[in-house]
Amino acid sequence: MKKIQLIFLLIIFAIPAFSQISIHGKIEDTDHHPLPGANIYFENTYEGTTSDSDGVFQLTSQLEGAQRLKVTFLGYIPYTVAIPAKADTIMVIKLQPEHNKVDEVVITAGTFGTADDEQTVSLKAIDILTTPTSEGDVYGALRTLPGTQQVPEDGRLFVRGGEAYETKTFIDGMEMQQPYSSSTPDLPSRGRFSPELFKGTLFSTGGYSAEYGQALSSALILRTIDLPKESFTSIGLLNVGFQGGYTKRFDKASISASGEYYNLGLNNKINPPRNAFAEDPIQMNGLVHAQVKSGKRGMWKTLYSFNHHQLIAPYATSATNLENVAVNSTNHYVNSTYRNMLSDTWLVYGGISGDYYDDHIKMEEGNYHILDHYSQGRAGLKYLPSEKVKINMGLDANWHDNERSNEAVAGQKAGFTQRTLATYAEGEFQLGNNWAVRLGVRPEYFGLLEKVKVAPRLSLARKTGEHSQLSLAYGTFYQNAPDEYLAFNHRLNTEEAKHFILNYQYSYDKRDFRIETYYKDYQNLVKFNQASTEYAPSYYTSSGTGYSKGVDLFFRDRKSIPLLDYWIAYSYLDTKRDYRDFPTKATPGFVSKNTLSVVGKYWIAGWNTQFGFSFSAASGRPYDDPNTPVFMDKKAPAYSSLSLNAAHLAYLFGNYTIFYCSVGNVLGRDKPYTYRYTETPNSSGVYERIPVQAETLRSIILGVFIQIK
Amino acid sequence: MKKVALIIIVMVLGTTNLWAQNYAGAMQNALAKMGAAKSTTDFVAASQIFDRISQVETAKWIPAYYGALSLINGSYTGKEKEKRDQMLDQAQKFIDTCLKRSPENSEAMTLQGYLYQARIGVDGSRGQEFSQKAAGALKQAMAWDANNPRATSLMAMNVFYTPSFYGGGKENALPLFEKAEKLFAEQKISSPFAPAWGKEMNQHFLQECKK
Repeated sequence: MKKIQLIFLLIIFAIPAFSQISIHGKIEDTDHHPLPGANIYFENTYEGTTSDSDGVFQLTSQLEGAQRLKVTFLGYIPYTVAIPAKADTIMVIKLQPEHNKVDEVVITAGTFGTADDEQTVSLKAIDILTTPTSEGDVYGALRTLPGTQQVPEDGRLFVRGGEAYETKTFIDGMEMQQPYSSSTPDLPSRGRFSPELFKGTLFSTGGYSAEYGQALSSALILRTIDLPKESFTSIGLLNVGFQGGYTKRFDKASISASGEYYNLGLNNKINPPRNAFAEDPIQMNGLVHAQVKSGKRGMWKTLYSFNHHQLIAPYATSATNLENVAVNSTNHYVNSTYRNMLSDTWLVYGGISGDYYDDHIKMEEGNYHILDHYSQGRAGLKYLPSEKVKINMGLDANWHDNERSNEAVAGQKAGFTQRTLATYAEGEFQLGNNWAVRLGVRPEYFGLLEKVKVAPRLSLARKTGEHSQLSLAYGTFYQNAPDEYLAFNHRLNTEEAKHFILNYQYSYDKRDFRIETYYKDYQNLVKFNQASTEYAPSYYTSSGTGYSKGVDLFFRDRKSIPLLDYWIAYSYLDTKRDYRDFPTKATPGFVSKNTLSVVGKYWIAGWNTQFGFSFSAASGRPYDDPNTPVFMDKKAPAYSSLSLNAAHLAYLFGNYTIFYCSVGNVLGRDKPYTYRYTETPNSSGVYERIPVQAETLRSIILGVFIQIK
Repeated sequence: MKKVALIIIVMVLGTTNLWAQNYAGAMQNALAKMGAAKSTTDFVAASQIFDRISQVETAKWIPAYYGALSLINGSYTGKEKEKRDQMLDQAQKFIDTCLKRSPENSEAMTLQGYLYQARIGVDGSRGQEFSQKAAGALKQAMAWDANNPRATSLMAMNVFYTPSFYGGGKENALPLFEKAEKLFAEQKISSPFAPAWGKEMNQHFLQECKK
């Protein structure tokens, strides 16, 4: 009996000994460094252990049959290995570092972004608002980034030797035909929308994605804000007008309405312009923005904006003579977009938009009227099977109807109806830890031309260090000839640009540095046939060409001095074109060879006040003196401007209040930006020179903004 | 012989019990580990046990909840910023799992707020961004369960650390801590392992406010 008992006991103790899995091991990284704290366990069981400070572990188990051993460790790719039943083994397991999101290699050539999914050098809404030269204008702040030109009398963005129309603005993916308020010559335009409407801006100075088209030089991709946290009322009082808005937050939706009224009358009395306005500029804006959450990860957004602008401004027609130019323009814009994550890997998006624009410009030579309708529809699909692969494809169609007339002359009318249909497909792939490639193609059909053009896009990025990378981008970009020429010749070819970009970027711990060099080749630019007469279709040809090359430098530092954020941007630009009325290849009048911007912001916590300065300088721009035989050989004086601002934050009666003050051109530098000449010689046979100058020597903006919850 | 059979049965049961997939036992073991944790390594090890349980018990949100809690608490013991953020990234995955398995779970959303606060702990300069995010998450947690003492207490902490200039500070935080204290006293632990922590921390802050 005792014997039997003993046998049984032996059997009992033997069972575990036979069925046991026993593993001794060590977890290391690829450089043989031990990894302490790794999670080592049998898949789908509770059984496991943690590696010790030397990366060593011991795991014994009673589990029967073959198992799968899994090792996970933060920042490393999980490792799984099959373990046969009853294994008793010693193993060294090497873990591969995971794709680290922070230091991931991304497509950055040509792009400045703030979007959540883009890891690029960035400017946020607050950065835009607090940049002194911006005066609250998105485009004003972007002019402190490299690749842009200082053309203060225009106000629009000129990127890398391109004209202003070569930069397109997209709101939630939809093209905005008229992003600027209209203005008279020599008076700067501004963006129609407040920077606060946007949560992210992606400013591409070249080589942008195939998802977008119709911009020869640059794409500004703006994304409107999502649901605000709570309801609030905002009021703003300025020396140039007032603004107010109300935002109502519902459980899964929100709606906000706001209005702005600006009248420069009061300001023009305090800070008189060089030449008095016959009618002070008045601008009225209205905005309704609604967002509705759809399901868990979907969002509908609808935006309607109304903008009216009127003024009668003095415009110099000779050295001594001023003529009044009256502008009366109205714009309605509506866009409705939808995005939804259908699953973890599929995202659908799409939208429709409409832009209506009615512009009257009255001057001595004529009474011009422009009526423009633009509508667009877009739908696309994104497939994100893993962190390493992104596929994006879609359809983009638009219909553009433009009419223009000189109402002073009967029958002087022109216009066009252009339909374009584009499809795009783009894939972005991470190859290993160090390479990323993006391949895209955008075939586009142009109705007036009855032609399909295929625009290829290619970007390549390679990580060169833990925080640095080198990128390369190439792309072909097509854009319809400008409206004012297409209206007279419907068969004008699409203008074309090819971009080659090389970029190096270093970004670590609140310090960003980037250097980018590029070459752009322009074809099919509109060029006038001087043998024909103006307004005749044959006057407008597509035989213009040009190139641009240059280097852009950017450095931003938010680290060296606590609470100081500053950036320095420098651009070198060499560009020549033979287009429009140019008799030969020459550098256009909006181009400065050297452009520098320095922006700094310092927050003084004790005073709850932020001080900002921005300094911009640019070497003199070329201009043509028609009294001399050589074309575009004169240089205007160099440009420089220093702007300062201060914003004080107070908490009055339980509400946030901001007191704001900004002064542009503090030093009162009074050199003309450039010169124009009269169109016809005067009685003594001389073309008279007219300086192009700022309307006011210094610009001053004072305001109080209150947010009531 | 009967005796022998009994011994065999008892022993076999004993051994299997020790190694079996026993949810309650494994949870108790892991909670004990978390309770005793002092160093980053301890907290990570505890979270790993919760991780294993969570991967087996795919219908339960509780293991992932504690996995996250363990890492968030552990993040305060770390030194390197990058490591601490990595722990919080991992905790975020646990919270996402929780909310997937149990949508509109006030406790999980509270932990989301707690995690955002821990992000500030890693880098103070994120204060403005993450205290707003934390407030948003905690508000949501309180909307889902108005009687959640942890949500109320963490919201009070958020107010406590907000400068009085922005409507924060001791005076504004005190009523919230008092409310949380009341909720802690009334809280019923509905199921084994349901979250019950936070009372001591609330007491501590209550004292601070009254100073």
